[in-house]
Amino acid sequence: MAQVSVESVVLETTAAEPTASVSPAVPIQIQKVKGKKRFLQTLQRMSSSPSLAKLGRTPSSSYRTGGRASASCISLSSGSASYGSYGNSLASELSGGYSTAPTSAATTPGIPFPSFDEKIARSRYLGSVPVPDFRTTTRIAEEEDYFSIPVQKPVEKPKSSFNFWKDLPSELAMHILSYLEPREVVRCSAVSKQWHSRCFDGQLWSILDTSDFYRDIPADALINIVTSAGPFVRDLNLRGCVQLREQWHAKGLSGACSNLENFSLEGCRIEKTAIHCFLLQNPRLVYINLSGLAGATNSAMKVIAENCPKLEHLNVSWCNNVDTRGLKKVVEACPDLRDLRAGEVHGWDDIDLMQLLFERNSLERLILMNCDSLNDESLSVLMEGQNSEMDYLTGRRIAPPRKLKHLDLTRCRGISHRGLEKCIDRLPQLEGLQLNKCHSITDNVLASMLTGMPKLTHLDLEELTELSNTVLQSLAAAPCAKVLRHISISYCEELGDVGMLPILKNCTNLESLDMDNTRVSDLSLAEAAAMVRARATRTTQPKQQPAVGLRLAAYDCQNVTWTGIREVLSRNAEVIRRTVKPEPASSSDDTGVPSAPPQPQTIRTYPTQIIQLKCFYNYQPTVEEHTKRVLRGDFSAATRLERKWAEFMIAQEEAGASGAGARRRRRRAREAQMMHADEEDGGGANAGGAGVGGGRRRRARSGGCVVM
Amino acid sequence: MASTDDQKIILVSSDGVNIQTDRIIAERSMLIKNMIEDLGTPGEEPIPIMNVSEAVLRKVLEWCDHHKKDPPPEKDEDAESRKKTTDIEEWDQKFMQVDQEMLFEIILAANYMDIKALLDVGCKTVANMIKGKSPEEIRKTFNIQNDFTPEEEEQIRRENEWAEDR
Repeated sequence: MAQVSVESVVLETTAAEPTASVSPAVPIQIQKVKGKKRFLQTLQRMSSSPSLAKLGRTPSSSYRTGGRASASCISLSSGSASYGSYGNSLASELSGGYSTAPTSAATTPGIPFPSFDEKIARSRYLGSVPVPDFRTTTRIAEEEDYFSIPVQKPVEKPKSSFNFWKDLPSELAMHILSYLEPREVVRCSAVSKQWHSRCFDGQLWSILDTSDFYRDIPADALINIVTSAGPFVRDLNLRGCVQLREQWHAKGLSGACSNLENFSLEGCRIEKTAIHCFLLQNPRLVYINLSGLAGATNSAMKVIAENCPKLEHLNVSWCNNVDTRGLKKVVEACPDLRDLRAGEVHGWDDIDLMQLLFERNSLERLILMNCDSLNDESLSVLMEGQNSEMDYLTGRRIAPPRKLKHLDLTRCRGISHRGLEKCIDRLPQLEGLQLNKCHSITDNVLASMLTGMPKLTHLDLEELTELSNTVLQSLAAAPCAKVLRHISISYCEELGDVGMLPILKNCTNLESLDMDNTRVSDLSLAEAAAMVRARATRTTQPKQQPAVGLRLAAYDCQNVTWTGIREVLSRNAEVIRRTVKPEPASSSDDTGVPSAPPQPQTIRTYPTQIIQLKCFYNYQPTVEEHTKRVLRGDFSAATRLERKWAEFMIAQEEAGASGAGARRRRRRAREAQMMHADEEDGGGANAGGAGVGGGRRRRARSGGCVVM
Repeated sequence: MASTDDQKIILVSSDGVNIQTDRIIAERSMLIKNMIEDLGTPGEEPIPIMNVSEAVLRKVLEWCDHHKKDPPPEKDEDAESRKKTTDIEEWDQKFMQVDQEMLFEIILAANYMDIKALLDVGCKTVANMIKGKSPEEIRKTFNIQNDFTPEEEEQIRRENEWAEDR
């Protein structure tokens, strides 16, 4: 199949049609419907991309010069004069395979690499492609030969004259390169000059996200890419690129981009004027992240307000020099603002801004982490406006429900339950609520808030010491119970099993549960294990590795003991054997044991979801090793580890007891410990983690000595 | 339109060979689909595919046949996303196990015939051939001549040092 290739195409078409204007490329048999046929042909010509249309139709001379690789990217091309004319003129005009070089150089200003003489490059390039030591004269003869030889070219040497990249239209080459990671693109630029210019063509860099390589890339290389991609860049993420510190104004970096839509400078060391420069140049910005920039000020907010009317997302968290006066301008000027992250920004007691936000009701995410200035009054204006009508029956103001989906009030110490009361029934769309460390929240307020949030999926209640188990009970009965995926009650010291058990019974879609530093006990762990077991399907395929269904943090909980942890582990690795009478037609490949039809056969089922547990640090290595084995699908090894560990724990507990036989018990404990350590190491060595295992063994033995 | 499924149409390759195929298969190509719609008389007249030779056309139609039941592609919104994956499904991988010339022809044909999914698969295949290779290996794979002077090469090597595998 492959023998019929480029050459054959060219040969055929060359023979069939000497000029491009009359192009009955295909000898169509039906001759009578002339009008229709002509229509077909015009259609063909219109619909084919010019770069490709040339491929079939142009005389072989243009094919030889490789000109057809050129006319792609016409829209950008400086050589657009030749667009549309497929004749010899084009072929001679765009000589060599380098036609993208001028394209890119012309459209992307300031490429720092020296441009090169095309002709010289071309002669050098072509001169040595077919056979390394060819002289120019012989080369031409060879190429003409090549075109006069029909398809019988030896198949075993297909590469000898065919040149994939030289013949490939530039737009397709770009398409291919666009599948590579930035690093790979840069690495590829060293292949040849043509590749170099393609790799630094702006089209490839419309999304420039440095998050994978911001640590490695030196400032010069980054500036090169940004400036050569210039107006092509749509998404620019320079998060953490501190290497640009001194160079924001060097080589036109801050003025290079003019079409940015998404822009992140988080954690860069950038000064005020450079930020302004970026903002002034890019009126299409939709997403701006200036998190943590000391250079971001209220005047930058003013620039945004005046320049970026399309803004939807603004992150100015930890910008000490921004306060709500600046934000007010942005809110006034950007009607589409949906996402405002203003952690640790001052001035949230500004009633006017709150009233404005209330009237707009466009925000979907509001992050006010660490905003001490937020007080009950401003929160209530945000929720129900300043002068809204009163409903005298309920004693509350009448206000439309808020559109907020995410509200983060972490450590807003200025608000109390009186402010939060105003949120009750105002936030029906809410999906994420963070009230960490907002002390003085009471059970009643929180419970009433939760009943009005049917879509809640994330709930963070860290360090709310006032809460009692009743709030968890009402959460378990709230409409959001079934959709909740994440709950955190870390450091809520009053919360325990009484609250957690109903939650684990009702919130069956939980994916992550943080209950460290609480009063929960083994009962909650067992309940969690049972919940995951009940909701997950089981599989008969031992090869299907289970996935983590629930992440559970239960460290620093006094009431959690090793037995509770063991319960979770054993559920994770549980292989249920069930004896069934075989159906006559069923095959027995589940067990791998070929059994005769009348005998009952055993079906083993394996879990598909497991719990990833974070617990007391002394137990944690065992738990992690166990989880690793289960995730690998190695259930028997996991069970073995769990058994050894349990033996060790029992022996150790016995050894702790005083009385007769203490010495014997201690010896047994030591032996169990060794066995357990060996088991853990064995698994570690299997998985390639022998180094860690060795460390553990030493520790285990020295522990034994201490016991003696 | 109920009979669209088993309608036959005839395509003519650039080397003049008539190939009969199902309309539903051929219409994976937007070029052909638009032409059939514009003509309004499917099946009556052979459709010339001028830039694609018989062998390639058959290969392309083989792909179209296997993918004729595919759902229409999602919106093009993430077309430019850099996080594009280069994963290729197994059948396509096997399908693309051809020599470079054929691969080249398939890509060109897919582009010409406007079969986006096939174009993507082809380009991904080539991208996977590039991935993880050093510049020298890439040159060898694709028979590319290194046209840098040693000085230029050294300069580029220095500039690209950060991107090397650690």
